Amino acid sequence: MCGIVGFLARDADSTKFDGILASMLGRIGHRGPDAAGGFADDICALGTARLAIIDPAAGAQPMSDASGRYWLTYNGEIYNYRELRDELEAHGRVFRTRSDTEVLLEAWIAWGPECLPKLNGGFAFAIYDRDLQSLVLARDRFGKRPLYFTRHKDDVLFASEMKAFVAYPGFHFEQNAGQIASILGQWTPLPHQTGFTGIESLGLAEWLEIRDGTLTRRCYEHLTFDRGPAIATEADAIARIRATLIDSVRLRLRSDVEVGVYLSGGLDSSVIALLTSSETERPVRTFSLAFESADLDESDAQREISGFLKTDHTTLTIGHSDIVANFEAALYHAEVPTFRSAFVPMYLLSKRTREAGIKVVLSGEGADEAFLGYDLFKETQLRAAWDGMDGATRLQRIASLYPHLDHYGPQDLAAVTSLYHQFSRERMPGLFSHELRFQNGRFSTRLLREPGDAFAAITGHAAHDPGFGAMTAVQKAQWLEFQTLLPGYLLSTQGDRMALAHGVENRCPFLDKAVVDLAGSVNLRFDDGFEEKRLLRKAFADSLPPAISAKRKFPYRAPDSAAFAAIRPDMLDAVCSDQELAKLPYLDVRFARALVAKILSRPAAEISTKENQTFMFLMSLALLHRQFVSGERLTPAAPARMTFADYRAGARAGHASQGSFISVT
Amino acid sequence: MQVEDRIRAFIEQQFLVEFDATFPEDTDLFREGVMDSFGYVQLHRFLEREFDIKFTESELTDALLVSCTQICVHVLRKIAQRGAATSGAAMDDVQPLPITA
Repeated sequence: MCGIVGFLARDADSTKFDGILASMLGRIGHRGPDAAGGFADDICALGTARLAIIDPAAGAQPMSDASGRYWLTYNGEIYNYRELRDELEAHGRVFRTRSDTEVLLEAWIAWGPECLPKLNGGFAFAIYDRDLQSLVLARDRFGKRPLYFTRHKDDVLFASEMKAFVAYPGFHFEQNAGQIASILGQWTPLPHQTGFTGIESLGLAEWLEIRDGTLTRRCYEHLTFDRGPAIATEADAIARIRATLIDSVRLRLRSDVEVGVYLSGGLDSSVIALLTSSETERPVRTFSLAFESADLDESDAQREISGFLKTDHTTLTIGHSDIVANFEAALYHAEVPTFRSAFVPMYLLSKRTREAGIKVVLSGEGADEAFLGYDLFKETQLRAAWDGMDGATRLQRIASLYPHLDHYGPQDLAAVTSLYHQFSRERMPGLFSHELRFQNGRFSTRLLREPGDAFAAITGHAAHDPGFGAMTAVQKAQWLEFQTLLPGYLLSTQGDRMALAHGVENRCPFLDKAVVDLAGSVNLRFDDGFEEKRLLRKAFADSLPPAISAKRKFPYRAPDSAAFAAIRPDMLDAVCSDQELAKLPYLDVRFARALVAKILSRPAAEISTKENQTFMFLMSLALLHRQFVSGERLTPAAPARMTFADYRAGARAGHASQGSFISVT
Repeated sequence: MQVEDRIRAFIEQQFLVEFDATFPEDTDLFREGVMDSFGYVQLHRFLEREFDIKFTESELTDALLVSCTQICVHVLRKIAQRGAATSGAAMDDVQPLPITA
């Protein structure tokens, strides 16, 4: 796991490349505190901040092939690298190290972009071909690892985190009102969105080639849910779920350093901890978050499963003050507007994990998307089947949807039923499943003076997918989750960015392609989906305590606006002061003022979900502006001290054709 | 305060809107992102409590309370029905008000 940066700049002064590279790497050094390396010739520079996990002694980056033609800087892990290496060796390839980095490099040289669908892992990389003077960027299929790029004048820059661009001469950040409207509406950025003008994220399963001044983007794999094996019986389904997850965990335990587990207390992470325990001899190190607020806390379940598996368990307890005190720092790592504060505890948990000596963890992300764990999927089925249901069935189904929400209680069922009646027909093309959710988003767009059509981007994104139109309503819901909340928040703001803020790599066994494909084959085949993740539960019911295997999903949340209302930190001036609000030219200041006044003056119980998340959006937009646009609160970062492979003309004159390796600060 | 004023004040205060020429009272509050499920339930609770009325399930599903204008029409109708029932008039004698929003 690493952070990567680089640029292609044909007309720039290459004598400055090493200094620029060191400054860019310095901005993302938290992603790879073990080593830093750079490469440059006269038009291209690549850099890596390395977190050494596999072959720590020999996997240094950027890495070149023996000829020095290809240079790779790579972030992530290819879990099936041993199998790919066997295949490449059978074709005569010779390896100098036992690292997955070299396997990726050789796979690209041997197969070109055809190698991408073969890769099982979370990755983002850049590979430079010195002969063709072309640069390729590529990213994994689920968006586990980040990769941003931008055109600055005639140059193309890329980085694992956008903050690296701060170090590029003349680069400035500007918030993009159109994209912000889209983000507010759908809760998270779409895979290519960032909220900043001119900066794009490489999409899921995308690769980009920059050659002769032209950028060409292609997708190497589209997300579908009909690629899995044919399953005849429920017993077969259960057996395969178990076997496939065992394989997935085994692959993700490939590491030369100890692997821990994030334990939420729910089914998914308990399954991961169970399978990890069965693969390792010594007690697994597990890490959990507890909350001072009882309604957010799952520590009873965490104690139950950690005791059952006899793990070496660490718990970090979070209160309002922890959220507020660390919000700005965590947001600096997140880089994008956020609708919740739940990423902040994850920032603190990775810090604690790293302090405990662990730099790789497994976690349960992806299980709810793959195995239909969210109530959203039930809600979609209910609304899609609305006209064919009698009144009693409708009431019974609605009552079971969101038992943790007070306004879904018995006294309000009639009102909620009438609401669902209104939403039983598609109004937003392709977005039927998410129309109720997007009501909250629509409210958040009121932060903007001119929100325009906040849903045009996501509607177009779905329509552009070749398989989306033929999917069932539930599959469309799944697809949308895989495109929005999962990569746009859970894997990024709450996942990769918070873990790597402290040099911890998170791995997600439920997001193995084989697991996702299998889930597509068994979902709704043997049940109606109203008992969440029933087959997954049955697969591990004999191996987990009943209190865990039967436990209903407990949404992971943290104190949001209530924390700010209780603590009243100084940073609130960013949203309370008219002078500060005026710095955000896209903002509807009157609405923002009314919202903040309500949040700070009314009891938390009177604040709705949509108001809560709109406040969090406002806070994050204002603070991101301070950090990235105005730069007044930008965290300082020293240039990295790196090993540098110098292939620039001047160096080549003195060091023949192999370049020179020097240390640059 | 008139019924219409009380309803308007509740919506403005609860949903952070101000009715005016740019945001007229017949605006669809769902389409404008003003109301979600929580807000709808809050509104429903308020109307039943404040005006001592009870919406039937069919009323809720047949004529959703989507705009301030429409809500006022429905509430006034329910109040009129209640008054008619209290004074002994047959419910059939009460003419339903048109739904215009």
